[in-house]
Amino acid sequence: MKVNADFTRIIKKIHEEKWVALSEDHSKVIDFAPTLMELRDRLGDDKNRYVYMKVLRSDMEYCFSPLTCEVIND
Amino acid sequence: MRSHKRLNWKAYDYHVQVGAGNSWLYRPLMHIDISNRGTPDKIKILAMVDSGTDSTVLDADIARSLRIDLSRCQRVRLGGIGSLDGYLSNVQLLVPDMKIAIDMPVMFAENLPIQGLLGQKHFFQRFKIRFEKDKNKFYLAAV
Repeated sequence: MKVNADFTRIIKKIHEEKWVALSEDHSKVIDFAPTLMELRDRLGDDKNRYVYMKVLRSDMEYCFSPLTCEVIND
Repeated sequence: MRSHKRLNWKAYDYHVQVGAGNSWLYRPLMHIDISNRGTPDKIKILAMVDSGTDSTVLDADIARSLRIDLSRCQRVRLGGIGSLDGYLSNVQLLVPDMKIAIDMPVMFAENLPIQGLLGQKHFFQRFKIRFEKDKNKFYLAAV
């Protein structure tokens, strides 16, 4: 299946910092919500059909790396 | 003489999104499925292939949606620029395009701005990965 890689038309300001559910070919935003659990609850039986992503802000540059991990011993 | 295994490269397009100053930002996102052994749910996400991240890191919302009890997981702190609290848990990561499933530990981070980062340990060890930024394409091949 050819998937849409151009989110410039489908991802809007209103989606930023929210979880969105995308159609299987990534061409449509089906729904969005502040948390993934809320979004999947709303989608009900169809929840496993969709592809999820958390939309980054469009007014920021992101740097994820270097992301390292330290174990916490209580 | 060196032997060269013929690799079956799978091509992916960088996903483009509007970024700072109305620029277009291209990111190497790919569809993976995350599941928790013992529960029927699986979550399809677009995760970013990130060679600068040590381990695979997912947003903690994904763990909660998979009914992983984070209170029973090893607590970790993720560092880099700033730090995030997180939890260590084992999940199954499936690359559907290649029908490859990997049982691996992942860090579930609270307040991660992105849904998932596929890092050096486990993910990069399982695939050869080639970035062709000039074409906004990247390629994976199983090793």
